[in-house]
Amino acid sequence: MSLGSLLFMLTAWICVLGLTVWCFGKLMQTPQEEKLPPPGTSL
Amino acid sequence: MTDTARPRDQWGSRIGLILAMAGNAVGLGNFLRFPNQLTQNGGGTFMIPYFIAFVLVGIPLMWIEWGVGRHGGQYGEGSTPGMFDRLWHNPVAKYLGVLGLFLPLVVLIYYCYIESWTLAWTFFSVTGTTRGLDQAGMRQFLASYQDLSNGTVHGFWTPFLFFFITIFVNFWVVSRGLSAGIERLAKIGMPILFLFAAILVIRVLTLDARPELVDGIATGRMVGPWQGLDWMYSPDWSALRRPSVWLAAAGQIFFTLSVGTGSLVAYASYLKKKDDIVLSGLATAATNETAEVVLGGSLAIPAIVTFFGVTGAVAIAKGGTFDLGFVAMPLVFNQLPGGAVMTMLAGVMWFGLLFFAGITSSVAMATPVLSFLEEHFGWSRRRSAWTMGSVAMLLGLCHIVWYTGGFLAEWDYWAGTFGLVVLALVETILFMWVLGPDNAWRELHEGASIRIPRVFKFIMTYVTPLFLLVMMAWWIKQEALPTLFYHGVPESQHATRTASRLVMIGILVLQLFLIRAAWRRKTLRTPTAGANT
Repeated sequence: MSLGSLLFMLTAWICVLGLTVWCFGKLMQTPQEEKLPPPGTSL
Repeated sequence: MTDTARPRDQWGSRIGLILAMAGNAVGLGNFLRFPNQLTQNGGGTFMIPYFIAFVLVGIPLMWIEWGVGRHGGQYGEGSTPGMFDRLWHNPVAKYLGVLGLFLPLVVLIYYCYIESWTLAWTFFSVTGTTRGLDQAGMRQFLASYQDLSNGTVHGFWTPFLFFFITIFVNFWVVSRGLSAGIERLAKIGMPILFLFAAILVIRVLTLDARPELVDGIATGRMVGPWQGLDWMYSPDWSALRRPSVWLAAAGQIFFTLSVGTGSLVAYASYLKKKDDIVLSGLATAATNETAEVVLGGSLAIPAIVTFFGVTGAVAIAKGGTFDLGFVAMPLVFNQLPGGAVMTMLAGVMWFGLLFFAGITSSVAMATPVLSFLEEHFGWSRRRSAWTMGSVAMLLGLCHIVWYTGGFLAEWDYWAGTFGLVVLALVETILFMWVLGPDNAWRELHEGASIRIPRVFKFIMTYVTPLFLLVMMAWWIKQEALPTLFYHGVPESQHATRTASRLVMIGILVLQLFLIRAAWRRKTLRTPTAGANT
């Protein structure tokens, strides 16, 4: 694999994976209560 | 506001919401359209306009749609006619909202037909029907499925059968409600999708290099998956000077995030006022990008280059996304080491992941119309779902019967491509300009887990709508006018394509009447609520 292709691919992967990991890390730091559906909903 | 006293559904958990939202965004395009766009628009350099469009259009639109949806949901509105009416106190607003009913319904119907192909090919993978076919045989296999008059391979009823099953499964899921139906599907389907994709990526990237053949003659070069990735990401700097590449990147970002379909706003309407939308929206977009760039980009093209060489991959990529997914990939699976079992497993995983990617998107597209019927006509979820399912099934038959006449292509262009940009533009203007940038900013930050960098206020107010306007203008010039006048379309398809447009117009007019009827009903029941009619 040429260096140019490798750089583009790795940069793209690092960007999206980095953003995803950061987002889910933040989500886990700010947990929200698990909410149960209200009674009477059409489930 | 809803006429019924019935409480609205709610998301059961935050992770369920994010998975459902991501499931809505992750679709067939992540695995089929993205690698094709990458190879045809400058290779690695395509990622530069792609990420710029992600920041300037994708993320802002994601937040705007979540904001519009949650804002409408506070008034009990789960579809755009009511949401727009709440954002803009003008009698026209609710009629503009017809786009958020029309587009998801139209796209849902033909999308379910394509989704049914993935179900059919999953079945064919299990039964081994495509095993041993060469390229011509595989093309004939697909052509016979798409064309009812071509009975060389499939029986007349085969496409109908898989379509009926797909429609049934979709509307069974949505009939069970938000939490027990859609959210549960996302919690099961999304992990399976990621698992199948990850297994396939590992298998593809560990394939051995093989001698490259061009027209049966050895070139003396060895090709493998890494040569495929090399070809895909090989930078072509001159591509950055072509406006078409920038618009292709913006278009890819737009379609991959499922913005402008009316489904994100419908999902977001089930949030509470203080539920976070900033971080959740960003997480949804990021999850979709991982599925697209890391998984979608590492599957089809590297596998195809390994078995067909770069020259063969170029020809297949030019054949379009369906050739890539339904002709080339089964051929690759036929040649995988491991015999019939590996061929079957790879086929089931590939078409299974496409099916899950499809169904998590199609159930989202069903939601706006269901919410509209429930909230404005007091229908139960079951009644709305099965009525809409019947309509979708009947209209879907047109796509099966006249697919080769271009019936689906018309819907895909006018609703699935052009219409989405129009709806996204309307939403952006209503949220950022009519509600106002300050109010919109406050609305987005209600209950937010993180703060949006202030520069995005400027981007969302000026840059995103400008970007969308430029996209629209370019498409009108380059594609809409030629498509409208059937340039390059065989004359034999003109009648079918005209009929296809008339059916779309019929749906649009019917939905406008439904909106009028809904607001009249509301005025009769609560005279003050109908002040905007």
